[in-house]
Parts: sequence; C-alpha cells; structure tokens
Amino acid sequence: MRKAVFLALIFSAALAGASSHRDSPFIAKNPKVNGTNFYMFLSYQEGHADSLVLLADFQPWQPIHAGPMFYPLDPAALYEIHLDNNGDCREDLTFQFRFRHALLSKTITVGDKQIPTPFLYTGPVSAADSSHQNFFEQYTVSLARGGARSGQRTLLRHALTDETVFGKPMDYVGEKILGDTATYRDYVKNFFYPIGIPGCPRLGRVFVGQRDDHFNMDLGRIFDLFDTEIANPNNAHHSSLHSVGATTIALELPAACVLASTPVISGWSSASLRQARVLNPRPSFEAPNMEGGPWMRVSRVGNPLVNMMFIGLPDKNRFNAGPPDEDIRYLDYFTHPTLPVSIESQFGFTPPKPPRQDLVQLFLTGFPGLNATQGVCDALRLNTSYPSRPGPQQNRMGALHCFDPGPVFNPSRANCDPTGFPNGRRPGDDVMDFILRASMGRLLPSSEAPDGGLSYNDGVWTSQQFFFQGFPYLATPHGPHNEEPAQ
Amino acid sequence: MKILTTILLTVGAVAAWGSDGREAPFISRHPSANAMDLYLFRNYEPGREDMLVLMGNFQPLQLRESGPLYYPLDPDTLYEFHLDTNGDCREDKTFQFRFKNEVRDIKFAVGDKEISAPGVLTGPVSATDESRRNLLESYTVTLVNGDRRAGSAAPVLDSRTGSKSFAKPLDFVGPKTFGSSETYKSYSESFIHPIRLPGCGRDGRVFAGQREHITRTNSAVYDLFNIDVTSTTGGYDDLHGISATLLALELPVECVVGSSMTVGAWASASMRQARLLNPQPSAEKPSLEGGAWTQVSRVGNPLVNSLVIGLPHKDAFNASRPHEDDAFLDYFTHPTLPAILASQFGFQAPPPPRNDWAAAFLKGFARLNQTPGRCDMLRLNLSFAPVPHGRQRSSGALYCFDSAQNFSVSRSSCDAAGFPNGRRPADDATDIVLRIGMGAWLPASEAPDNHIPFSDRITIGSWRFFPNFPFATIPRTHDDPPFPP
Repeated sequence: MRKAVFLALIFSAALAGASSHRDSPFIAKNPKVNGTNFYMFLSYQEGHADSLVLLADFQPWQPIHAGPMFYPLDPAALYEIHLDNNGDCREDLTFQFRFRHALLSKTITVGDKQIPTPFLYTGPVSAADSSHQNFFEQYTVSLARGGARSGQRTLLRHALTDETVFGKPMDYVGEKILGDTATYRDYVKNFFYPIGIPGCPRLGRVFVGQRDDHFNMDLGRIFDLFDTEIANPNNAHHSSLHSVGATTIALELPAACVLASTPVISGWSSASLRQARVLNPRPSFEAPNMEGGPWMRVSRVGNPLVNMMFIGLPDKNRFNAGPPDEDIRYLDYFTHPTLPVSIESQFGFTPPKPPRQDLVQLFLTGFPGLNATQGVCDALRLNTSYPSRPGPQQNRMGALHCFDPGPVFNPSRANCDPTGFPNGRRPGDDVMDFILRASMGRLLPSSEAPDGGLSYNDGVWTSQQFFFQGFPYLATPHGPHNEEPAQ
Repeated sequence: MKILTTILLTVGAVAAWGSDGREAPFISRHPSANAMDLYLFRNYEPGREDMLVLMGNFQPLQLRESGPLYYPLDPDTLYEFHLDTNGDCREDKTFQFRFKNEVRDIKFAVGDKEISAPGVLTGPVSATDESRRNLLESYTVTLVNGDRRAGSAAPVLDSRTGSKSFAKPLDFVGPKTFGSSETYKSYSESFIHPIRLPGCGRDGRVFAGQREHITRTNSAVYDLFNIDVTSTTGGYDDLHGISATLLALELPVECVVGSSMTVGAWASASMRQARLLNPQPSAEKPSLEGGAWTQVSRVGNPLVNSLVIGLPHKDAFNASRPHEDDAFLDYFTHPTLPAILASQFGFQAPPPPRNDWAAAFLKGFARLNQTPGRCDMLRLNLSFAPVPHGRQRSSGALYCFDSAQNFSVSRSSCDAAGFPNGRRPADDATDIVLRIGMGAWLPASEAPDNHIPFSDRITIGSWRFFPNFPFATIPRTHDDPPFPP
C-alpha cells in the first residue's frame, strides 16, 4: 500500500520536473549491465566437440579485491545471450538470466549486542561449508524460442535435481576466505551445472561467476592516439586489464539442438533494464528502489571492438539499445571506418579507399563460402561445419590466413585456421591485432591496400595458452596481493 | 512527444508490476555517484594558512587509461559538500556541483563522407589547444546557505571572468595525447579556477578533475585481515595506479565559519528520484530523470560505511542525513571491527560500550573538536595552526590523547592538525582507526593490546602528495610500471 502511494506521488513529480541533461554514454554509468566481450565457438574440450560454447562477459574492469561489496550482478537487470539460426538477424533462441540476492544479516557478538557484520562473509567459505557466507547470489535461466520478448519461454532445469535455481560462486575475495587460486578454481567447479534443454536428447552446461578479464589489450596505448609503433612486430606492452576481473555467463549447448537448416549460427549478448526506476528515499537492502515497465536494452555485444572503436560517440548509446536487425543504419561506420584514418593521421600509413566491403563482411554479413548470412547485422557468425581444434593447434590470428585477396575465403591456404575469428570467436583469438590488420587492408589486394601487409598490433599477445582447454575456458581470477606480486 | 507517450505507458506498467527483487547495496551499481573519501583541513601551503580546504574523491576505482570514454561525472547527479558551522549536525552551507558533458561530434573525412569520431579526442590536447577534444566537460558551483534544499542559493563565480561555468580537464588519456605526466600536470593545473563566493571579500579556488586515489587500501583488510596487522610496512597497495575524480575547494576561512571555531563537514551525491530510459537513446538524452533529489551516497569520517556500518544498513546509511545518525548508534558503541580482529588473531578487544570510538566518529573531543550534535562528520578545530607539508605526522592527532581520551597538544608525537581533527591527505586513516578500535585511547586494563601498532601495512605520508592545491597526484600511464615500485 505504502509503495503504491509512493509511486503515484513520484511520477507526478517526474513529469513536472522532467529535465533533459546532456549525458556521456549511458553504459559507463551502469557497469553492472555493461556487456564487453562475447565468444562463440565449438568446444575444443576432449569429448565435447559437438557442443557450442557461448561466453558473455559483463561488468568489466573489476579490480579483483575491491571490498566490501565486490561484484554481484544486478537483480534488476535481464542478461541475455541470443542465437539466430537462420541468418535473418533476429533471435530464434534466447537464453535469459535473472539474478537474485539473499542477505543472511549475520551478526557478530559485541559485548551484550548482536551487530550485523559489514562484510559478505564472517569466515572461510568452501563448497562444503558455506556457513560463514552472509550473502548469496542465485539465478534462473529461461530459454525463449522465437522473439526474446514475444516468444515462448521455458525455465531450464538442473538435469539431475530438477531445480530451476542455480548458485553463483563468491567472487575471489581473497585467500583467507577462499583459499589459494587452485582451491578457488576447484571451489568454482561446484557451480558448473548440467542443464536440460527441452526437446534436446543431450545435456548442456551453465556457469556464472567471476573470471580473469582475459581481454588482453593495451587499452591505454590504443586510445592514447596509438602510443606505440603500431606496425612493429616486436612490441611488448602490458595488458591494461592485467589482474582485473569480469563476470562471465557461460553456456555449453549441444550444437545439434540449436542449429536449424544451415550450419551457420549467429550470436550476440545483451543486457536490459526496466524502463522506469524510482529510488526509495528510505532504502533498505531489500528495496533500494523500484523498477518496472518494459525491458530496455542498454548494452549489446556481437563482434569485438565494434562499439568501442567503430561507432561514433553520438551513436554509441543508440547502438547499444538497438536490435541487430536495424544495424543497417550504422552502415557508414563500417563502409567508411574512422579507425584506418586515425592510424594514417598518426603514422602516415595509407588506408584502403572506402567504401570498405571487406569490413562490412567482417562485421555485418560474414564472408561467402565461410559464414555469410542474408541478414546485415553486427553478430558473431560461426560455421559449425569446421571441427574445432585443440588449443595448441589454434592460430592466434584466427582465420586471418584463410583468405585470398578480395577477400575470398580459401581454406586450403597455408596456416589457415577456419575455426577462429571471424568464424565465431575463441578466447585465444587476438581480435585486436586481427581488426587492426583487417582495417588497414590485410584481406584486400595490395593494389588497394599498399600498407595492408604490415603486422599492426597493440603489443599485447593473446593466445590460447592463457586459457583452460575446457569449460569454462576463461581463467581463474588473479590471486590476492598480500605481499609484493610476482610478475 | 514520443518520450511523453512512453512515460505514460510506463507509469501504468510500474504500478501494476511492483517491486523487483532483492538488491545489492545500491551505490555499487552507480560508481559515478559514489562519494568515497573526504578531506577537511587548513591549507598548509605557505601564505595560505587562512584558507580552508574541502575536497573529496568521487567515482572511485578508475583504472588507468580506460578508454574510449574515461570517467566524466554524471550530469544527472548532484554532488555536494556540506558544512555545519554550529555543530548541530545540520548543514549551514552547501557547495553544490552540477556537471555538463557536451559531445562536440568531431568528424573524420573518410573518402567522400564525414564520419563521427568514436572517442573523446581525435588528436593531442593541451592547455592552449583543446580543439581536438570531442567531449567537453564543465560544471557550476552553487552555494546554499541554510538547508540544502530550502536555503538561499547563489552561484559561485569565476573571479577573473565572472562566469558561472568552470571547465574540467580531460582525464589523463596518456602521454602521447598530453606530452608527458609533467605536461598533464600543468594542463590539469590550468583548470584550477579562482572563485568568488557570494558576500566574501577574498577569492578561493576550485578544481574538478582526475587524480590518483588519495586514500590507499590494502584489500587484505576485506579478506578478514589476511596480513600481519602488527607490522606497519610491506603491504600491497591495491589502489596504486588507480584514480578517482577529485572535487576540491579552497575557501577563505572567515567566509565559511560561524560562531564556533570547529567546523563539521560531509559530502554527498544525489540522483533524481525517477528515471525513465529512452528506448531511442541519443548521446544527449539516454534517459529522462526527474523528481526530488534522492541522496544515494554520503561520506564524513573515513571507513564508516565500509568497515563500521553493517551490510543490511549500508544503503540506508548512504541515504541518511547526519542529524539522523542515532539510528546507527549501536555500530559505534559496539563496533564489529575490534571483534573481528580479536576473532582472527586472538587480540583482546576493549569491552563495549565504546564511548571512545563513538566520540572519534560522532562527537569529537573536549578541547579539540567536540560539537553539541552527535553525527558522522569530519570535525576540524580551525584554531590549530596547519603543519607544513613534510612535517606532518601520518598518525595525525592519534597521540594527542591519554588513556582517558584527554586531549593535550603537548604530548609527544601529537599533531593536532590531523585526523580526527579534520583529515589531511597524508593522514593514515586506516591505521589510526585500527589503533583507536583496539583501544589506543583506553587504559591498558581495558585494552591490553593497545600498545601494538596495528596497521594495514601501507605507509602513508606527505611525500605521496604535492605540496600545493589540489595536492593529489597525477594518474599513472602505460609508461609507468604496472605495479608499485
């Protein structure tokens, strides 16, 4: 009752006092719903080769040990992974994640009083003994077939227990609470769940938790007007994201159960918030605010680096909010990319002349003979007819060497690894170097790209060696820094 | 028009739909509205001792060089510093900061088209040439006398130009954009603006910009003190190379004090109570925000909401005002921090109720900085002369008290111009708080372990800071080592 009155009052105030302010891009204000990286590949874990793996990172740039709150996901948000199995840039299957929090309000005895602890835990926590855990995160997963909002939704269940609620491990708050990194790695394995997919004879797997932010790149140099010799193959810089974490949603699905008539599947991730929010002026843990109304998409990720390096500042918010099947409105950012012009202005290298059909293929349509779809949109596209390769056989430049100038996909070329980016994306694919090189014309004839043969790079080496050879692939968060760190 | 229709539709939906689940403490969702640390001290720059410095870190935990957007403040948030000049725990003067971010939409010529740049700059930026800056940040400062919402408000003006608008420097993108850390420093300092307060005869100064975190943290503290807390050095500084946005004011003392020589201070951030997301968001209008300002963050004394207030009440504390702090009194008379240290290491925590602990945070001390009101705010007795840079003790006023909390400036190692008498950048607040918690100001009979130099093992000192306003150091870049030296 009290809540209803509160809402009615507020909304009249909102209408009267509605004001417009200029804003920096919205998502920077809302890190918990910031999707950053999306991966899609056929599993290269032994015995899982016919499974499709989807990894979606959210809430980036977590200094690992930032207490006391660390990094729960947002219970008011909807996190989604979308799959398009007929190439029309509309989702056919959407996996929807909703989170909830439980606070036990554990207390500490101080004299004659019981005082609530300021922390998320009161002592060591393990999979076998969570009695000291003060704060729990749980989630549900729904599968929507058809449109993400209009389609038919089914709650997915634990294949053995039939439960619909899954647990998320505690973030790696430190060694004293959760043990060393090996112990934490084993603790986290208790949160890999087998899930049933309706109509599918085989099981999938799900995991949500903190991972090392493996998007290795020298963000600082790249955005500092490329403060490096960008074409020098001997660059060796530090990743800006060293020892920083992110929260990963990981799914492993029997590929046959998500494919339709074509072997090419497209995917992207997104996060949405309710359209309206009213802050509670007397907030409690349970009710800091009220949110309602339709879901509004505030973040989406298909191909890497698109919104970061290609979409112009005035359109970044709109791109995040837009559905992929409207991406044609951003076509100029791909046919006429500013990235090669920036590189030219800093170093004098000559970029290919626009319009850049090669970049349209890279980001928006896929390549004929490899992963082309009829729809035009920013999505990862994976042709699942190429069997996955074990880590050591993966090329860190993905499928870069699979193209004759044109670009024309030619899988018989030397060093061609057709199972990597831009045919889907694996954790070890060095997409920053790939995209720098493709932008300067690596996939074009040298007559159109006089400087297209150079080894453009950000100086940070990404490869499969930094990742697990199986689910959930992405690495355990870095250990705590009680003493001077080992480099 | 379209937005208006959306709003009307949405309101109906909200009323029907109700509340959305449980939430983590709110402010972790909105770092841009997070007020983290507050500083209050008499300026110790030679010749400026009659100025009061009031400054704070907002939007904490900024990784170095996080492009392409970096860390502008939020135009939809109200950032405030509050001063209580009569000790009743209600604000008498409030400085309100409002920010404005303008996308200039610089375009690149790409073939025959003009294409909008993706980042906040397109080329080098300097104090004399910001033409390649694609996002311009500016702010206004308003002084409110009396209640922060009902009092009389007047703009603070640039005393050189008479303008109400102040420019904010671009965050430290890196040495190629700015030349070097030295040139970024001089660029940044060109945004220190002289200000004229309404009715004040002398100029003050204002600055808003990215600087390194002033406070340092060993996050082993959050791992239930996974360190030897009896050793004062060797800890890992988890905030090394991490920045925050600094808002800093230098104010003529005579224009901000009241009848008492002790002034209280806290900072806060507030957001509009209602937000509607725009389904077609532009850079200028991703959402529509309106309604009453609703406070979402507050800071007075250091560490209160991170180490003192219990998890169920952290949101409530952030939303509350100091004159309501009796609601949280148990957290101060019966602190959990000493009990945690006792349980982890076997030290003996002094018995509650802890009037010494409560006085440090809520009341101040007789002959030093006591106020009639009981609330969490920094309290600074202005009659103690500032101690010059380089001669300050990072233990602040910790050693100015005997075991009955009697203040005496003549005690050895006493630096009465430091925390808990106000707070300076170089005051090692974590160590001071740990030691007070374990009974530094109690007789050994009640606090048998009070001789131990409890510490988070991070060394703080004025050598970490510039000797001049705004004191905080320049953010690190990719040319600096990634780990503490």
